[in-house]
Amino acid sequence: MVNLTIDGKQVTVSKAATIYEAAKEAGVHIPVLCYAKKLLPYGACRVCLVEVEQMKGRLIPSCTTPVSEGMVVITTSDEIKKVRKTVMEFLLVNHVLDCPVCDKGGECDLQDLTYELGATSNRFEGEKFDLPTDEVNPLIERNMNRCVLCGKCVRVCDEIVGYGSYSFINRGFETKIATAYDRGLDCEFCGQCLSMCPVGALLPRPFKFKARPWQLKEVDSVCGYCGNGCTVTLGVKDHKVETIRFNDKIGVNDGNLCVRGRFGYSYVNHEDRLTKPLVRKNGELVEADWDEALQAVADGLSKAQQGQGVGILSGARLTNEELYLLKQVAKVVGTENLDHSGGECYKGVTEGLKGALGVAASTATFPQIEKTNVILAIRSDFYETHPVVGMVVNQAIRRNGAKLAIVADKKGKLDKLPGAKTLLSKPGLELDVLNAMARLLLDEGLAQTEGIEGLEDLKTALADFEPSQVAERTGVDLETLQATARQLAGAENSAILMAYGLPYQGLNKELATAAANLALLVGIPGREGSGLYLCGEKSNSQGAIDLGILPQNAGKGAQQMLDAAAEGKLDGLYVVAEDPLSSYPDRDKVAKAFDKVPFLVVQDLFLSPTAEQADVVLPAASFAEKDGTFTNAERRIQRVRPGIPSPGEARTDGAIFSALANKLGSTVTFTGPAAIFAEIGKDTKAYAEFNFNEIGPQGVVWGGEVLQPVCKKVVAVSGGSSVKGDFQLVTGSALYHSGTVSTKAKGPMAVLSEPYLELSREDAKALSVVDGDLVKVAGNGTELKLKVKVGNRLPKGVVFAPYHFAEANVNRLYKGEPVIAVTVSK
Amino acid sequence: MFKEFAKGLSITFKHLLPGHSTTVQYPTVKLKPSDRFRGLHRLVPSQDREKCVACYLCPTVCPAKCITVESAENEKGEKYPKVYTIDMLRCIFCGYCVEACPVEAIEMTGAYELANYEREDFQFTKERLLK
Amino acid sequence: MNAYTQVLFKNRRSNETVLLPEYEKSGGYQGLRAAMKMTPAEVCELIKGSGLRGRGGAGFPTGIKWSFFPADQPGDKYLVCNGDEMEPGTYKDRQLLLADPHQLIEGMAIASYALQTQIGYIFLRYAYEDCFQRVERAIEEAVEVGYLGKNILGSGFDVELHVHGSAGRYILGEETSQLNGLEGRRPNPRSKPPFPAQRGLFGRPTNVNNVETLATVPHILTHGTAWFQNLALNPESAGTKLFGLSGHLNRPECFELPLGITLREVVEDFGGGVRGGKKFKACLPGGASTPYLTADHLDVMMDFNPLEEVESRLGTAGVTVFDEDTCMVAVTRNLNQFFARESCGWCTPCRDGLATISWLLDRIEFGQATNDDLAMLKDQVKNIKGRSFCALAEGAMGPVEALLRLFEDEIKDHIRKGCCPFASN
Repeated sequence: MVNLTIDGKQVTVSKAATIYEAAKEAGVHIPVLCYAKKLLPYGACRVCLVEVEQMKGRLIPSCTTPVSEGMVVITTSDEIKKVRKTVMEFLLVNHVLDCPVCDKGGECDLQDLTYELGATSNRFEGEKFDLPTDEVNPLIERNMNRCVLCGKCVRVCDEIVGYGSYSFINRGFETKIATAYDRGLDCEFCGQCLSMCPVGALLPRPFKFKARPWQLKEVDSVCGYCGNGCTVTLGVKDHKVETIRFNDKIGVNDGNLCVRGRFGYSYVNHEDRLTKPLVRKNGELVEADWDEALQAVADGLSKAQQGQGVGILSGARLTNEELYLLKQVAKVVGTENLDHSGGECYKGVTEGLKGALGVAASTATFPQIEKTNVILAIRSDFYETHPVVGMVVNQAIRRNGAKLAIVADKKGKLDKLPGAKTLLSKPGLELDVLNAMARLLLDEGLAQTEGIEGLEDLKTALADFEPSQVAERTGVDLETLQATARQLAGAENSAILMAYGLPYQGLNKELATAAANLALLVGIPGREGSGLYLCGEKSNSQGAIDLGILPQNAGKGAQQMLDAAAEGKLDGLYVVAEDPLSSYPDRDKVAKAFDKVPFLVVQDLFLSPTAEQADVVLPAASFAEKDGTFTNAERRIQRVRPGIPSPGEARTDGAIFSALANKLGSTVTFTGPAAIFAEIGKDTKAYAEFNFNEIGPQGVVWGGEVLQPVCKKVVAVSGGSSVKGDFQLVTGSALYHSGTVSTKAKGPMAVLSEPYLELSREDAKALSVVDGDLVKVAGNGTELKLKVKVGNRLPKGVVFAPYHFAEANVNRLYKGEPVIAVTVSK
Repeated sequence: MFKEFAKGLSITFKHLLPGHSTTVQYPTVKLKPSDRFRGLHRLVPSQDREKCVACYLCPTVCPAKCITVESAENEKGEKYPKVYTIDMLRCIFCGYCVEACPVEAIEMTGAYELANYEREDFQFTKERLLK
Repeated sequence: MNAYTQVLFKNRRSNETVLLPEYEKSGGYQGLRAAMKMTPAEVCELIKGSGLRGRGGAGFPTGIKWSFFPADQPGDKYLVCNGDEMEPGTYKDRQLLLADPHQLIEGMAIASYALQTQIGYIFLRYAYEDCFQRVERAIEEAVEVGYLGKNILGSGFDVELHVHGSAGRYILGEETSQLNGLEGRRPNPRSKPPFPAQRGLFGRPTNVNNVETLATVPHILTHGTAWFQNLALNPESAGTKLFGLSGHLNRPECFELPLGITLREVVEDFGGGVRGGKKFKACLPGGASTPYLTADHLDVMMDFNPLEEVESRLGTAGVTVFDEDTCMVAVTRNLNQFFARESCGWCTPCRDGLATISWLLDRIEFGQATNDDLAMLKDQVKNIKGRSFCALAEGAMGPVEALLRLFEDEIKDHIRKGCCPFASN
C-alpha cells in the first residue's frame, strides 16, 4: 500500500494504482476522456492532467502515472483548468456539432466535459471534418466526423475482443480510426466498440433515432441467450426494449457482451410473439381465453397420465423459480418423466463430472481464467457458443501471457488468438487426444496422483492411447500434443474449457469425463485459481441441472419420452420453452413422436414448428418480462428483472405453471419469486444460503469461487470413432446465433440470415462451388440443400452446418452423433 | 375641494366621450399582440421539410408535458419528427420549447384564438403546426 | 581553418566505403578486443568515466544509461541502434555509415557485451537504402571473421545483429515508438515508466542508442578516457561531434569537430561563411527542434551545457544557417508544418495543438493576424509544451518559442504591415 495526498486528502491505495484510480477512491473527481476501467492505461487525451508536487514543471497524466509514496497531487488549479479547457477547444475545432441529431447526445462524454470545463466558445478556427459515414454493415454505424481519437474502440477490439478490426491510420491532423484498407466494417459485431465510444462516432444502427438516452428506463437483467450470464441493461421506452445499454460499471463479465447479447434483444418485440392461448378445435388452432386453455391442458394431462403417462420437456431458458414450479406441476400431474434440453447434451455435467468429481458444475468462476497460465479449450466452438468467456481467454493471453491450446475438429475464433496452438483432430476423435494427454501425464510421471481413485483402471484403459499412435490416428501433431500436456502439468494455474449444448450431444459424457480425468491429473479441481469449466448453451442450463429438471427416479429422459411417444406408448407431452422439431437431433423421430402423441401442449414465445403441432399452445414471456434468477455456467445466481410487460395476454412461465397446478388441484401458492427462491433452498441445498432480495449486481456464486470436489476419481473412457465417407459433417453453433430464438432477432439475422454449409477452400475448389451456391448434402438417409460458405476454419473433408435454422432441417441429418458421414455434390 | 372633484370627474367623463374608450369591439376589432407575445406554436419549415430534427429537447423541457415527438429516419438518412403533436389543452405557453430548441425550429406566433368545440381539435399535429 | 583530430571521419573518403581490412588496419576492432578482456561492468564504468553523452539529440550520458540497464537479468535483452535520422537539417549518421560503417558494428558488439544483450537491431531510416546495403555488408564481413555471431573472439559471448528498415515516419525516431515499429505495430510512443530498460522491445529490457554514440564507443576503448576527454575544446566536455551544416552557407557539408568549438568557427571557417556575402541572421544549432541562435550567440561554444545556458540545445548538431533576408516567421511556419504533419496523432495537444500553431503562424505570415493572435500564440506554446505524451510537440515548440523570444519584432512587423516584410516585391 502507498500513502499519498490528493487535494489535501490522505489516501492509501495499492501500489499498482494510478493517480486517477487513487483520486477516484478518495472521491476526488478528475475528468477523463480516453480512460476506461477495463482497458490498459493510455494517456492520449490529456484531459486528466494534474500537478504533482514532486514532479514540478510539467503536468502529469493521472490515468497513466502510478502512485508513489508521499506524492502530493493537486487536481485543480487555474493552470490545470486552462489546459483542460484548451484540450476541449482543440477537440472541438473540427468536431461536427450535430448534437441534436446525434444519438449520443445526452450521454456524450464530450458534451459533459465541454459543459464541465466551460469550453463554451472556441478561440481557434478550422474546417469541420467531412468524412463519409460507414453504413455498410447492418449493426454499427461509424461516423468518424464525431471521433475524438481516444482510441477506446481500437483498444477494446484488440485487448478484450481479440479481433483487431480497428486501427489508427494516417498521421498528424489527418489521423483517424479506420478498418483494414479503410473499408466498411466487417467484423463479429460484438459491439464492444459501441459501448466504449465516448462520443457518437460509433452508434448502434438498430437504435438509430429511436430515443434519447434520458428517455430510457434502465433495467439491469441477465442476457437470455447463453450460459455466460452477462449482465445486460435493458433500455426501455414506452414498454418496449429499444436497445441494450452500455454498462461496465456494474455486473458480471465487465459489461462485455457479444453480438447476441447486444443486438439480439429484438425478438422480445417481435410481431410474431404469441399473445393469446390457442386451442385446437376441429383440427385448427384457434384463440381461446386462459381459463379455457388451462382447463384443456389440465384435463388433457390428467387424462394422459391416467393412460400411458405424460412427459415434460423443458428448455433451459426458464428462471430457477419457474423450473421449481415446473417440478411442482410434474408432481401434481404425477409424472416422473421430466427432462430438459434434449436430455443428452448436459450429461457431461450430470454424469461425467458427477462421476469424477461428485459435483455437477464448473469448479471455478470466469474471472479466474484471466489469471491462469495455461488454458485448454475442448472444441473450438467455445468462442462461438460462449463469446464473452472467449474474451476472458483473450485477456488471459494478452495481459498475462497465458498459453492456449485447443483440441477440436475445426478451427474457430480461439485459434486466431496470439500463440494459440490447435490440436486439430479428425472429427469424433477429440476424445482420443484427451486420453493420450492423460496417458502422457501418467507415463512421464507428471500426473498428480495423490488421493485420486481409479488410477489403475484408467491406466489399463489408456493402453490404446499411446500418444504417438493417437497422433497418427487423429491427425494431431504429436509434439504439440506432448507440449500441451506438459504445459498443463507444469502450470501454476490452468483452466479446461468445454461447452455443451444441443448440437454437441455426441460423446458429451465421455469428453467431459476425459476432461475431468485430465483436470484431476493436473490437479485443477479444488485448486484456487484453476478451473474445469463445462458451460451450458442456454441462459439457465446450470440452474436446470441444479434444480433437477431431470428424469425423476424411474422416469424417462427426453429421448426415451420421444421414443415412447413415437411408438405410441406415451399419451401426453408438455413442451416448455423448447422447439424440439427445429433443434433436437433426429427431426424425423421427433416429428413422429409429436404426430403420434395424443395430447401435446407447447408453451413458447412463438408459434414454432413444434407449437404448430400442439393441441394447446400457451403464450409465454421472454426473459425481459420475467422476475427471478438465472444460474450461469460458473454457478453464479443472478437476478433477472422485468423491463416490459408481456405482449397481449402472454404470461410468464411461472404464472402459467402456478395457474396450471391450481387447475390440477394443487393448493400451494407463492407470493412471488422471492418466496419460491427460499423454497428452492429446501431441495437444492446449495441455494439455501442466499436470500433472493440480497442478490446484488454481481450475483452470488453457490459453492464458492472454487468449488471443492466431493471425490477425485478418474474414470476410464474409451475412445471415439471416426466415420468414413467423402465428407464428414459436424454441427454446432454459429457465433451470431444461440439456440433457435435468435433467428427471430433482427440483429443476429441481419448478420447471418440463412443456414449454410461451411467447407474448406480445397473442397470448394474440388467441387467447383463458391459462396452462395446450392449444394446437396446427403447422409443418414436424407438429402438437404444448403448454401455454400467457404472458409478457412475447416480441414479438408470436413463440413460444418449450424443447427439454429429450423428451415434448414440440419437435424434430419444429425441424429446426435459426433460426426456424420455425408456426400456433398453440386 | 369642489375644484378637485370637478377635475377628477372630468377625467372620468372624458373617457365616456366617443373615441376615448379602451374597450375593443372584439371580434369585429382585433388587437395586434406584441412581438413577444406567446401564442400558438408554429413549426418552422425549411426548403423541403420542417426544420425540426426531432432532438427531443422540447418534450424534455416542457413543464406541462404537452409535446409528443417521435423521431424517424427519412429517405436521405436524416432525423426528422415522424410525429410532432402539441396538446394545447395542456400547454401553459411558457415558451421553454422555443428557448430549448437548438435549431430554431419552433416559434410562438401571435395567434391567441384557440377555442374549439372538440377536444381532438386541440391536438395540434405537425401538419397543423407547420401552417 | 583549424585542423582538428578526426576520429569517426578518420578513414572517410568521398564516394567510398571503408571495408573490413582497411578498418582493421586503422586500428579497428581493437576496442572490441580490449572490451572482451574486461568484465561487462568494467566496460560500463569506463564509458561512464569517459563523459560520453548521447549524440542523438537529448545528450543523456551514455554510461549512466548503460548502468541503469539490468545486464544480469536472465532472458532475452535487446540493443537497438537508433538510425532513424529524420530531423530536418540532420544528416550526420548517414555520412558516418556511408564512410565507415564498421565503427557502428564494433560499437554495437562492445555495447552488447557491456549490456549482455545478445540481439541487436539497427533501425535505419527508410530513405537510407545506401546505408542499409553498407551496414549489411559490414555485418557480413564481421560475422565471417568472428567479430559477430556465435562465440565472438572466442569469448563465449554471442552477438546477433539485424538491420531493420523503417517504414518512414519522423515519430519512429522516438525510442519507444521505434520499439513499437520494430514489433510491427503502429509507431505510437509508449508511456514511461516502464522505461525501455525495464520493458522495451517485446516486453524485454532494451537499450536504445544513437548511431554516432555507438560508433564513438570503440575509440574510447582503444584510446582511453583521457584521450577522449582531451578531444573536446571545452574542458567540461568530452569527444568530437559530427556537425552537419546546411542552409545559407558557402560550404554546407558535414564535419567532425571537437565539442566546445564556437559557432563562429563552425559557420565562418568550416561553413565558409554565409552565402553571397550576406549577414548571418540566425541558425538552428541542432536540427529542427532546437531553438534558434542569433548573431549574438556566435561566440557561444557548441556544446551541450553552454547551449542550454542560452536557452537552446545542441541537439544533433545539424546546424542550419539563415541569412539576413530570411523571414523567421516563414522558417518557423515551415518547421511547424513538418511537426504537425509528423505528429503520430495520438495525444490531443500534439495532434490538434500543432495544427492550431500552424494556423496561427499562417495568419501571421500572410498578414491576417492581429495582436490577439500573437497573444494566443504565446499562450499556445505554454499549453502544448510539457502537456503532450512524448517529446515531439515539445521539440516542435523549440523554434516557436525562440521565434517569440528573439524575433517578436519581426512578428509585429508582419502584423503591422499586413504582409510578410521579406516577401519579394
